[in-house]
Amino acid sequence: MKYLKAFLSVLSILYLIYGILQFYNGVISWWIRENAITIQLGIRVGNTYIPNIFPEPFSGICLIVIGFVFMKSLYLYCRGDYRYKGFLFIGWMLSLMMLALNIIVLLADVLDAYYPAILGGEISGWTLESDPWGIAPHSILGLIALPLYYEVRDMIKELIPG
Amino acid sequence: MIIPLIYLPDYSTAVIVDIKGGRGFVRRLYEMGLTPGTRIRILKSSGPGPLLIEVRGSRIALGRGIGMKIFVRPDYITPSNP
Amino acid sequence: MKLKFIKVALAGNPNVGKSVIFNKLTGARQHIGNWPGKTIDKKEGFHRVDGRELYIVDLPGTYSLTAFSVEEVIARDYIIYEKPDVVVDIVDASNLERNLYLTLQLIELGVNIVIALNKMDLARKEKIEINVDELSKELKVPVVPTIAPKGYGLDRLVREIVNMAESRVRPEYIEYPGVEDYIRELSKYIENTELARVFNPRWLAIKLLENDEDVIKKISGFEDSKYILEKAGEIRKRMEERFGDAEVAIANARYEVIRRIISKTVKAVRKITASDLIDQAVLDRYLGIPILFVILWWMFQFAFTISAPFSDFLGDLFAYIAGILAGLTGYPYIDYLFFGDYGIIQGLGAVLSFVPLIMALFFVLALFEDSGYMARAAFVMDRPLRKLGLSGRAIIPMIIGIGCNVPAVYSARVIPDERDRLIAIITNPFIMCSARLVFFSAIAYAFFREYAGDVILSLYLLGYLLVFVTAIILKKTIFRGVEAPFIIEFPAYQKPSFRVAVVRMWDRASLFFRKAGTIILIGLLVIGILAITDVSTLSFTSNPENSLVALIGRSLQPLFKPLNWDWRLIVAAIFGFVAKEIVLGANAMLYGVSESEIAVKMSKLYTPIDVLGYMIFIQLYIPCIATLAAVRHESGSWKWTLFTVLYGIAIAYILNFIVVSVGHLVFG
Repeated sequence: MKYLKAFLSVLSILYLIYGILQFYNGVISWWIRENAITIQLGIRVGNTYIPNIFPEPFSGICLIVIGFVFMKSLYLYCRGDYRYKGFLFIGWMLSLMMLALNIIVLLADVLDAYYPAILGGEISGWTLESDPWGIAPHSILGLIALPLYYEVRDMIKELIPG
Repeated sequence: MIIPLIYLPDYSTAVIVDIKGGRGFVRRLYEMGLTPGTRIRILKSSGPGPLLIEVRGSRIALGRGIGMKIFVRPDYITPSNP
Repeated sequence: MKLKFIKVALAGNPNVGKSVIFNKLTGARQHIGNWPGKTIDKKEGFHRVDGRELYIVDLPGTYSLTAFSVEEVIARDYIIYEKPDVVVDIVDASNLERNLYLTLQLIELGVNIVIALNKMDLARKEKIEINVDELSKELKVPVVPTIAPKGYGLDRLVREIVNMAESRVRPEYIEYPGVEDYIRELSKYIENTELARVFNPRWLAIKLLENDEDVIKKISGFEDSKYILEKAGEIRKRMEERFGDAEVAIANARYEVIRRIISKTVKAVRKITASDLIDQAVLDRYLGIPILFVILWWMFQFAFTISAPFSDFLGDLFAYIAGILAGLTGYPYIDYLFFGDYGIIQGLGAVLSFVPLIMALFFVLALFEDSGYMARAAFVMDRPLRKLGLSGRAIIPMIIGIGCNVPAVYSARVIPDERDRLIAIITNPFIMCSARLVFFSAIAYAFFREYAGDVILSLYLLGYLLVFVTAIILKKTIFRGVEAPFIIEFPAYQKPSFRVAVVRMWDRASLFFRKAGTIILIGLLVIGILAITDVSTLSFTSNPENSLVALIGRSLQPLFKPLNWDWRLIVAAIFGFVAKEIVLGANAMLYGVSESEIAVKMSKLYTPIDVLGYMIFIQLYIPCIATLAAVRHESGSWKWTLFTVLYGIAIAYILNFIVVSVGHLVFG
């Protein structure tokens, strides 16, 4: 893949930045409940942002780790070390998993909001803005990382039976 | 030169010469394919945690204590790219 | 001769795809139970073909048949005593050399064997070529190449099984160079005794020369055993003079045979595989553990998120049903017992609401186990955790416990060593689950303001600290013993099978429902009765202050005076036994305020020190009844369950006392 170096650099920096911001948001939200001003870095849509850096320190740590994994891959690639591929694969898998998780969270929240209807209860309704996660960095960055598939395609083929 | 397995660096290969230990211990290692005369390859020895070696086609992780009890004769020491 | 009923046993190393083959053959016609007296799953099932019924038992995966571990004893005893018509040895083609060690031991037993050479696709990918015909010739048994997930080769496998069962050809043995004469000598003695009627003479000879304790025990009841043991001892001595160690000599002979077979049948070009590359990252000295935590966090979020709507729905559904049926019978006692807030229907809903969570967790756990990652995870966490008295795999229940202790206790299944597993199970309740968090969040803020977060965090840490301390103590005392040598095989990574994960998820959930569900319902019934039975009249009362449970609370009050508790806190703690979330609501009810006001109310009655003490008590005392049921179920013993209860209460009381006493001394 051409421009792999540039792509990995950008990707790892993005994961690191969003991870650190999310960690920060998480820490100040949990400890300094009132007047906690969280930082956002995205496009404002209505009352929320895309990506929405929801405050949760552990989630932030995960993003930071993924950033480091991509960084290590970049580092090894630049040194011509064949081992870069393993890190690339793991980084890609993890970003894909985060993307999937975000989607599942949104689906679950929608389900949670509307199921009382079956029992004749009140529906509080769901909007993107009210969702605790929303469209988080997990999905945006996961989407950005998707094209790395072409770089690890041979490994995937090896692991799938048949 | 015969040394304990644990002193070998990553990616080196060696032949097992002897295993010191109680009956059950040695038996267990035999079941996993670690017998005198068998060639093994170190996949990961650096860093904390157990050793990772390749023997008879499989990857096996061993506790470091076990690595002290397996004595090998190294083939040669290779640099980091296998 | 056509047989109506054929008994088949599946044997093989762990990770060779045995369960996949078992599932493919038996489909829905399978049953999972326990091997008698052990905590290992016994899987049995049926497969019909051509008017014959195959009864298939999936033996535990083992690397050999020496009596070193529970799994090996089970497998070996089944073959010897249950005498299956055919044993199917499932062999991993990408790992042939190591797998053949078990194959040779099966051949020694003198049973009818068919070999399923599985994972042919993986072997092909790793550029390993196997001459199947030659292999069959060398081993003197039929060898069927298979790719289990695709069902490839399974029809032929079944045909070979049937052929073998019906053909009555005696299995042949393979000679062991160097030691064959000794074996033959001893086996001739055995042939002339009664032992030959139960055991295969050659196999028995080999085992006695290997000094197998389990076999020696097994033959002790027989008439000629003393004589044979003497002969065996004598021959062994001769072997030792020649080889140094008889057991080692025999093992070496096996590997000699294997080496010969491999050299004739396998051609391989070993290159760097995808698995090697992945391991570079996953086992990296700096990134290995962080990657593990990311994956654990993901599993946790996935399972809790995806199951939450279903859990909530089930809880609400049963509350709804209880609401509709309220007042149905007209007898308040029965009504409250069944349809009340702490009644059976709601209780049933509570039990069922655990099921989606357990299903989701076991689904992801199975996926990661199947992919091969779990072995690496255990490896990565083993050294740090060993220092704290736990096994590497114990990291899993430790993380899951943060959400809920019930699935966490069940997840301890992934720990192979029984003692380590017990330690993980017993200590798990100390980890703060989300139910307790609910209570603490509500209270902490009212009392500690901006320090609330710190207080809650320290309660978490206190829980983990106790896990480690308890584990270390247990390891040094009751569970002291020889550690099984730490050897884990890393299978090649593979795409996990959805189907296997679903099957395992379903099994675990239905087991929980049946076993744990019973205990939980009984517990709810008992507490429910206590809560609505009036002390003086023994009839119904809707006022908990007059109930039996309040009587218990009041009579226990003197015990809790050093902790500055009022009887209501005691009662709430008793209710907390049902489910920790209830502690908040119970306190609210007993103090006569709503849940949103209880924190404020308590702040007027107690000092922060006292509340901190109470929180510590709630954090550490007995696990909720669902967790207790899980502990009972997974540990298989009432003794340890009782220990968990008593130990928890003791620690909780002591720490509560220390905090309150010291706190008041310092702060007044």
